[in-house]
Amino acid sequence: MAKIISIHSFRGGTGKSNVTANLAVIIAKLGHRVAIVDTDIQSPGVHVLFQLDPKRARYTLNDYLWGLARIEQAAYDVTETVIADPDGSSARLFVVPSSVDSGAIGRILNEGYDVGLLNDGFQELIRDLRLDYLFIDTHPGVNEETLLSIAVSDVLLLVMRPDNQDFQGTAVTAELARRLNVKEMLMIVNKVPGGMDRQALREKVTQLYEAEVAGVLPFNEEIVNVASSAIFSNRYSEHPFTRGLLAIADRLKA
Amino acid sequence: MRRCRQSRTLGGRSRLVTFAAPSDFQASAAAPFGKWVFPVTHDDSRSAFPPAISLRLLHATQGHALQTWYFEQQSLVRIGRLDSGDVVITDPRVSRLHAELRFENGAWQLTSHGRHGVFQHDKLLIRPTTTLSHGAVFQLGPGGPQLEFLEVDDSGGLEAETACSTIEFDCVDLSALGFDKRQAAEQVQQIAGDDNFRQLLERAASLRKKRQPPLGER
Repeated sequence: MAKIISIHSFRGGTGKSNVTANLAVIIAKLGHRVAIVDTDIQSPGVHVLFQLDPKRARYTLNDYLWGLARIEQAAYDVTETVIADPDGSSARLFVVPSSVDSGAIGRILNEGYDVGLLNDGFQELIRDLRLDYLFIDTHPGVNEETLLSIAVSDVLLLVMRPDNQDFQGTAVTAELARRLNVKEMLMIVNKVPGGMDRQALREKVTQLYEAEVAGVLPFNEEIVNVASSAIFSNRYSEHPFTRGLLAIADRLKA
Repeated sequence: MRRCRQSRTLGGRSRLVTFAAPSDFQASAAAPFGKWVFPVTHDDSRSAFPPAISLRLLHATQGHALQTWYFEQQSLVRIGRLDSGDVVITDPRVSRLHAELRFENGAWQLTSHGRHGVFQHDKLLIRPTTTLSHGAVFQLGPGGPQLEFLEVDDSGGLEAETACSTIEFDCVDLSALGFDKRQAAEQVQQIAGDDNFRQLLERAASLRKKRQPPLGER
């Protein structure tokens, strides 16, 4: 059965989309069929990491939510963009982008969208694309659509930076997720500066949130260099950030 | 002020070692100390048993260590911008493989490979290979990052030193990190306490039932 994984953070700028994209690529490379749905409709970003131009994309998630297209029509196969030599492998990676058109974003903001329809879309994607993993990149903050996406997931990944504002907001989100009976919640601390003891931080977060910490990922300049233009783990396969992601991917496969 | 960011990359097997600052280091730098954990690379060629060394990236003007790398039982240390190296320094003056430290004939030899050369006391090292002694400082490229070479007495186990600058790499005191539990509980109550949230829970339950195939089946 396909695993649905929501990635969420309380605030923006945690590197959530970057983590999502890299995890999806890593898992796909292991021979799985994976899709990412960018439900961060208000501030979409995942498409950039796959060099997908949503202006040229005929359909986006917005079109599906407005009943103008089937969701598979908004799913773009990016396997060859991010996986070298995928021939002969069962690896497949699809991305369902959100529209970057300001009118389309505004319309969703004004009208909202039907979460039931979105959920049906997830199920259709899983069935029609024969997915092993579905990643849902959510909009930061606490809102109804996001909470429901979290609720239908098998795993919730909560991404935060090591600062007190993120810690406070994440505490609220984590408690709400528990009340929504999310099956599994894993914490990821991202953008950890060089002077911070990552192991001590891991222990601290585990204890504070009484939750499993799947990864503590370093901040560094290389990430800034490739950010938003390529898949980091492809380019820096031995980097501590990549190794942290590999460990998280292992955990997600369990 | 120039900023350097470094990252430590592993090859081969690795493990985590906790370091504590030794007394002699406290005298030499005014930076605060933290207990650090960082990875150590192990070379499989253990026959030569090279002594443990550490390399410290020095602050350009203040001279204290911004980051310390520690190597034991490793006879080759590659320094450069390439993230497959042992000491990775992201700086435009540093070549991809700028220099190599090799333990040969009972001594540590520094070989320059970089286009911009290796400097000692502001002079370009003309000979391709030079022997380093404890405390030697060398610079990668003109005006580039400076590294200090230290032989570490590992008789006491894996004690070595590290420090970080208050300016560029704060040894962040983790005890300051946290959240206000009462405030969080109040916020949760505000959101979860009303009818909307109860409706949301029911909605979530009905959406879950739509999972195809149903949960637990394949």
